[in-house]
Amino acid sequence: MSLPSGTYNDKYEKDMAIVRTSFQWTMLILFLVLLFTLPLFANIRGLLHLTITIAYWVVGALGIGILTGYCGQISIGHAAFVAIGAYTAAILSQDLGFPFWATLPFAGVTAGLAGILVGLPVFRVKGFYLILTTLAAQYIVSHLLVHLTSLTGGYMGLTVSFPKLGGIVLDSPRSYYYFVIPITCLMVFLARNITRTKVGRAFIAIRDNDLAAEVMGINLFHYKLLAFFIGCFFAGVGGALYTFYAITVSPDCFTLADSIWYLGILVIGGMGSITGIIFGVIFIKGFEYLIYLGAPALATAWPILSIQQVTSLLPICFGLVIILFLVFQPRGLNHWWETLKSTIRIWPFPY
Amino acid sequence: MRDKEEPAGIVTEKGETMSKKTRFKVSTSIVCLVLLLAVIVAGCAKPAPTPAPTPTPTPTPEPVSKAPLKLGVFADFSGPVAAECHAEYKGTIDYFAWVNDEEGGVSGHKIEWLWDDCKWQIPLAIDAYHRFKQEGAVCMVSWGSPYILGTKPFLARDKMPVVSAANNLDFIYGPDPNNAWVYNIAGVAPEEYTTFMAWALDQWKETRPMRVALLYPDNSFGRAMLDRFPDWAKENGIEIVAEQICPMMPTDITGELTSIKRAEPDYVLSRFLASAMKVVLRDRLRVGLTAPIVSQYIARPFDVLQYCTEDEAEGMMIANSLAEPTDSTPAVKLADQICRKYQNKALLEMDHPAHYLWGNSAAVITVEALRLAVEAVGTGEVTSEVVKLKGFDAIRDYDTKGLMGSVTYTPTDHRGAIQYRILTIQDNKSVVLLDWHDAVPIVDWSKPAATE
Repeated sequence: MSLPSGTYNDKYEKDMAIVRTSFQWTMLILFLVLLFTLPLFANIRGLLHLTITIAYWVVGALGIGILTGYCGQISIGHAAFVAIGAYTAAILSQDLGFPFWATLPFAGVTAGLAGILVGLPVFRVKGFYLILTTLAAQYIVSHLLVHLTSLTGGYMGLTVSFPKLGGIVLDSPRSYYYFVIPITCLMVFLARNITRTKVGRAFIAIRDNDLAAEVMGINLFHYKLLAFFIGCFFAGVGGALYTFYAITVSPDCFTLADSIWYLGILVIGGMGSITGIIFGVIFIKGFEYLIYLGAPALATAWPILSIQQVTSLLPICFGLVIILFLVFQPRGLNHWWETLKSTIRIWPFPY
Repeated sequence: MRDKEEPAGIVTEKGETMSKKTRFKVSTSIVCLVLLLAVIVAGCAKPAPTPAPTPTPTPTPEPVSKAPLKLGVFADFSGPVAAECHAEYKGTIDYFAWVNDEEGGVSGHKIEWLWDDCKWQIPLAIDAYHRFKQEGAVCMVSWGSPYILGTKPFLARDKMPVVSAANNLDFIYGPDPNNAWVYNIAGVAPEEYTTFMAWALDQWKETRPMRVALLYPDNSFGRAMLDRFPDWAKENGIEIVAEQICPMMPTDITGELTSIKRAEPDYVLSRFLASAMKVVLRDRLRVGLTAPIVSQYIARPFDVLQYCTEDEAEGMMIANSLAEPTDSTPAVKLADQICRKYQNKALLEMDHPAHYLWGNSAAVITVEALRLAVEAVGTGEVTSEVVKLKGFDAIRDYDTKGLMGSVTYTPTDHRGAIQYRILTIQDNKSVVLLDWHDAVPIVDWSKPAATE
């Protein structure tokens, strides 16, 4: 961790602290206060929905961040594991009567186990072949969701009751916000810590050079499978959070396009960084939100542009942004963030 | 920007100074925690009920301008069905604009429509739904199955009626209390096929059972045709000899059609948009499949013919609940006028005139429900619940003037118009094989589903 000038780690505790300086503490507390008071002043149309959407996408994206960003195992079927978590939560809460909060770990574990199953070929394949394996997982899961009608409700999917926490029914975006945000914070904290452990370092070693990692004594098969489990665990929890927000899950909610969005988030945010994942989600969802807000105004102000052209800006710009990032900033938004922080730290004497 | 830390080289000893720091940290954390909890509790608390306005003894004068009626419209300007659904959107909002301009709104209330491009995606539909509701919509209009799937769980809670052009049986039939808030425009998907098959059985001269194949995309739109249809077919001595699944927007389905050809069906029942139907019709010629392809409301002859070349569509059959753009009924003429006024072109010059009419039909029913609701409450407030109870639920034998059959909603039957025509395409023109007649029901619509 880069530290401000004059700040030193003279104890192990300090060396291991995530939040290191009093300035960081202040900023963190301010951020949390802002985050938790957002519903009280977020009267802008759809802003609360946007924040909740970002929250459960962040949890899901943390999974692919660990799997692909940290361990280098590219998955193009991440939405399938989100779906498994979402359906597990729906089935447990609706059919088996689990409290909704209790379904979250089960959703994560179920998705994680499915991830191990899909990840088994890593023993023999990697690169493009692994991508195809995970792509197959996307199609297999989608197919099962439609055809295991007695379990999944077929194409109609499943509907769950509004979640209850104590005596409070979380039946509005505002009330659900206060559930989803702490969980997201917790998952970010968890992901951040995983990447700092022995396991996280093993993932990074495998990503950078798996042969060298193996020579150093890292059990590739074990750690790759572990990466699949952890990555899919996060995906499952993200799916469960989605379920209780949307109240309904159906196969149409988890498509290949969503899996590609997850990869796009990594590219834009920056691989191998938890902060980058958050930036990536905020960028993609924020951009989507801007189109959502601005399309009617643009179409009205510029009648020469058809509504279809305006509303198609998102996929067009998404492709463009991915290309631009790959060409000009392959390390993603996170690199800019780190550069900005470094610049501020040494300001006004950049030498 | 340097943070306040111990200077390098100075070791802080444990003692009073450290204790003060620790106390400061602990008390700061507790204060923050308490603040956060307070915010959470405040956020989750139910809003205080608004006191009811005190009734005034004297009648209030008629306001100069009445409150507008807000509607939420789930649109598809991008995504897999954008081509067709954009025309439907135009058909709907043009009709609303026409009601505002020519009739001064619904009994003096102007119609305001909110829209969002939902791209055939459930999460976006849920977002749009919350926004529409937050902004005071009293009714919603939707064309896509995903939109009803996504928003249905909220309908009963929010008392929000939705006009659905997606004619899935499960949306309006079943024990789900939310079904009571969904109103189909014209029938349900499986009855398009039961109605067609009943007609085909009347024409059947062979002694062997009739053989049919099913071809559909593997999603909520495509599989809607299967709701109870296989059981109905079995009961009526029809054999389903093949079932093939293909993408919503296929580019080549010769493989699927070859399998179907091997099964030697008499009819191929399919469910695709017009643009996708072109691929089906093209590839059936490639593989030499002679059994007629049977379509439904979303791939109507006029639209299909726009996509097809030469005689690709020859012999295709349709059970259709809506007028053709070439019809000369009062409703189609009005649609043409509206189209000329707001799109500056004739109906038949539109890209998807049949879909424009379909959009018109959603608007016609919505406006009628609003009119009944406004009349019922007089000067009172038109809420979404009123629109359902006094509007949609009060529609009986509403004459659509040739746009489709008459519309009736009962507590157990939200199909809307349930008359169909059987059409075929001959020499690149649609020909009526059987004029308007009632649908062959696939369930008993006089009873609630839960009592079955």
